[in-house]
Amino acid sequence: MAEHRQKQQTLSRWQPLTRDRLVRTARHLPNEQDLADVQRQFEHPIPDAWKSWVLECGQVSGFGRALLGLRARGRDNGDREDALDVLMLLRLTEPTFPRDLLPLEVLPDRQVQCVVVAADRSSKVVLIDLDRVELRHEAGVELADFVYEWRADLHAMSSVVSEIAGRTDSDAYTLLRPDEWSTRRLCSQNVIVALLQTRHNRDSNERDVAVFAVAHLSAFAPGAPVRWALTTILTESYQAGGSLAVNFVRRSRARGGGLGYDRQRTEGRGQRIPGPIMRWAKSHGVQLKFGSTGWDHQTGERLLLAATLLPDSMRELLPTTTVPVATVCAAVATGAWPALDTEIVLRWAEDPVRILTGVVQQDDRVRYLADQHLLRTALILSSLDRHLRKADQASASDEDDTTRSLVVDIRSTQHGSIDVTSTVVTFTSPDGAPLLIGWPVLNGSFTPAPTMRVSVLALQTDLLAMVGSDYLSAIGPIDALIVPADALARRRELTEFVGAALKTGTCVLAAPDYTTTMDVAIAARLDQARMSRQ
Amino acid sequence: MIATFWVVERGPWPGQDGADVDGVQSAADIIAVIERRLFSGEAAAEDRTRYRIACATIERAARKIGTPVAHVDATDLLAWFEGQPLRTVHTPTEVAEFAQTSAAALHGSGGFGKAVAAATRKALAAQAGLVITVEPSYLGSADVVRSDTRPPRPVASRVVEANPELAELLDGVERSADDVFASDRWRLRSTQRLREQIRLAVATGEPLPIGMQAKHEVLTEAFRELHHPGAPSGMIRLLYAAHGAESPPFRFGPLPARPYRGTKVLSVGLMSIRHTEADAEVSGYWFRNRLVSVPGRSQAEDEAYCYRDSVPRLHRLADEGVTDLVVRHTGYEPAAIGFYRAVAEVIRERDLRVQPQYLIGARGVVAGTPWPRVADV
Repeated sequence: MAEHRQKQQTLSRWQPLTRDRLVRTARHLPNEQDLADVQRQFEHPIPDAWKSWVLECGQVSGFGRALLGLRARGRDNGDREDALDVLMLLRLTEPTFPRDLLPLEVLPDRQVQCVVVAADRSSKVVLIDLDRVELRHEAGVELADFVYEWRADLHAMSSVVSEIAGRTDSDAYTLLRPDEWSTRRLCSQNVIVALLQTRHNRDSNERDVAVFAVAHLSAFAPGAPVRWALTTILTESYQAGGSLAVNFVRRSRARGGGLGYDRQRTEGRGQRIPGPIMRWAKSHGVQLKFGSTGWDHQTGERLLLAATLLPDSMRELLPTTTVPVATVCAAVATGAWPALDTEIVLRWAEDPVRILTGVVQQDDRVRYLADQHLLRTALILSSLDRHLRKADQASASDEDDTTRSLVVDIRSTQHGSIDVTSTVVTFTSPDGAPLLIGWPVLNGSFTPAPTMRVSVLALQTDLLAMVGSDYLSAIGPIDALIVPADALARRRELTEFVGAALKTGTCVLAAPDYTTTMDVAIAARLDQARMSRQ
Repeated sequence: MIATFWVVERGPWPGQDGADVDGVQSAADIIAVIERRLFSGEAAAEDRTRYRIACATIERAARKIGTPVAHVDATDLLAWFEGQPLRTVHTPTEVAEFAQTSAAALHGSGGFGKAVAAATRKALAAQAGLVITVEPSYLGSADVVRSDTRPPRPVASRVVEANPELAELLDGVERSADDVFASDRWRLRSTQRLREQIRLAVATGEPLPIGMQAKHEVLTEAFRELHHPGAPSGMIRLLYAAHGAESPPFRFGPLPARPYRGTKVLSVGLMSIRHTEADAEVSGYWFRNRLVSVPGRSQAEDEAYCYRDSVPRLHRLADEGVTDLVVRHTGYEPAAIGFYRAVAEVIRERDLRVQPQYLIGARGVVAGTPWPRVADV
């Protein structure tokens, strides 16, 4: 009796699946004999979870996807392949297919989701690529989680398709407000990486998420789709001016029974934080409460910090500054500010938030000039960083993916009366290779070395001629002093300064950018930063 | 960074004779034109670029032909001018105004303010222009004047102090918004939340965040409550949360009672383009959308534009004999706040009543509380 009750409890886990209108289950279910046929193919016992699932559901499909399951042999159950058919086929055609995997779902591009048949009898689900079977990507801690998320993905797709089908012609020309539901897909080339449906909830000043579905392909870096989708949601929360708190909700159908969804309403009932986010957060040190339907602002900040690609030096710096984490992460994540520029602003600016949010207008000229000077230095150092990383390549374009590794240290202390923007910055090549830079040298020649101590004087030529010599005597020995390209055109005005540099053994390098072009770029970047929050 | 004050006697500046070798005169002309456009909200992106180049031209000329009269720490200077723009170019005719502005901004800064005041006095005495340049601090820093203290708040908000007693008085203010939004649970809840935020802002002297929760009609009605005859007088700091930009404090207090006349009524929408379906029902729009929603401008500046634009036009309406202005709201909080800031100021002295109308979902057009209300009389 107890055994029967236990079996009933186990089976009840799949009931939502069998009652789901979107998911079709097999008419004729397999029996113990069918299970035994599968068991004979494996050394270890097949997980109980998989057995109970196929006994209750057989095979399931919906919305163009199918979980293989097991069909009742000898019964009229259509001609759909099941796990045993696919297993035998794979073992026949793919000699390297691992002996401990039981296929669960066949995906495009030779990707297969499989249940691991191991001695521990857990029902872990992994994703493998048939061309690289040695790499396994976790797709679910156990089968029940995987099936729950698979079903949630179907609902996400169904929801998105219903919404798009229900749109009228005029909807296509209507710009959505932040508080209206917006549906979008994140794509990498021709692959849809994630589907999202979100809005800013004006009532709670928080973000509502109705659809969060990510693709699992072995070609992606582990967790990359979740990181991208999460970054998108949280930066949008920031840009909408709201908190980083997120609620996962269910939406209601349009009033009047239409196909689309009501733009404003949601049901009060929330839905669980999607499993991929739970797993990703755990692996990045952020604990989310199991069964919870959302997170608060502080947790959102921790997630955004974990999701944004920041160098270690920035992660160390952030807790020591008063700048809101969300401001920095959103600036870097949206591409408005490269990470090195952001670190320079954070370390050197009197008011970093003012610069990162671009609030200063050009008619507030004194404040603008102070910010502009710091940003010119940041642009030159970024440019140097980019060129050093790509020095052995044909161009320093961002389109070249491969770069050499480089350690940039901008933590040096300020030298007495020297302006903070001329702090000495050290570039080091970890592999000991000399750092090559092809920028014009105004005095003598530049000798490449694995470490390069540089300082920047981002001034127009008249100011450079005025202060350059004083600066050189104050700063002490460095490998290179970098000045804007303006100096190339007006070398005669800088004779004294360049001569003084030669005496101190400092090489003067001309950066590729003129102050005027840098100022135009700075104006554009500040404008972009200023308007990024709507 | 160091801010250097230069006295430039003969640029030549506009109106002065002489060859414009360094381009000061033409650059000053360009600056004057673009500042007018910035003020009127008509400046385009190209204008901002031209403005930057013109300022840089005069700053370069100042270093060449001017006389340095003060070196001050730029960071200290900006801290004292926090919340107030600080231009670099002041023509001879503008120096007197700058002397007043800087004296107010630097009040309490001791020797720092005196150094700036001495520089402006020298420019005034010589009837010269005053130019500020910003250089990195490796210029000889010995004679740089620094400030021992920094002000705790932006210039405009320094007049607003924490006032818990005033916050308590706000509890007794008549709640007219409840009648306007009757049976609209969402807006009633939003209004109540806004009232609590206003009370907190007044009690602590901290800014009231605008733009994230309460919509324009809720803001308008909540601010209207602060102008009922029984309301106390005071100020609230406003912060536009989207851009983090603070606008000048919002003044409130009881409006004077006026008898109802209603002899000449004008009906307008608040902002063009936003609700074109209302075009047939209004005589025109108060603001042109293009002049309010200008790219590259913060919402606080949008609000300032709307206020500046509305004050003289409301006076002109009163001059023309218009007694009632019906305003159909079209959204955008900075436009609404800027407009009613001007309304509250103008109707204290002019015989004009403003009747807001809100477009609220299924209820259609809903009449708001008039400024001032007829029952106020």
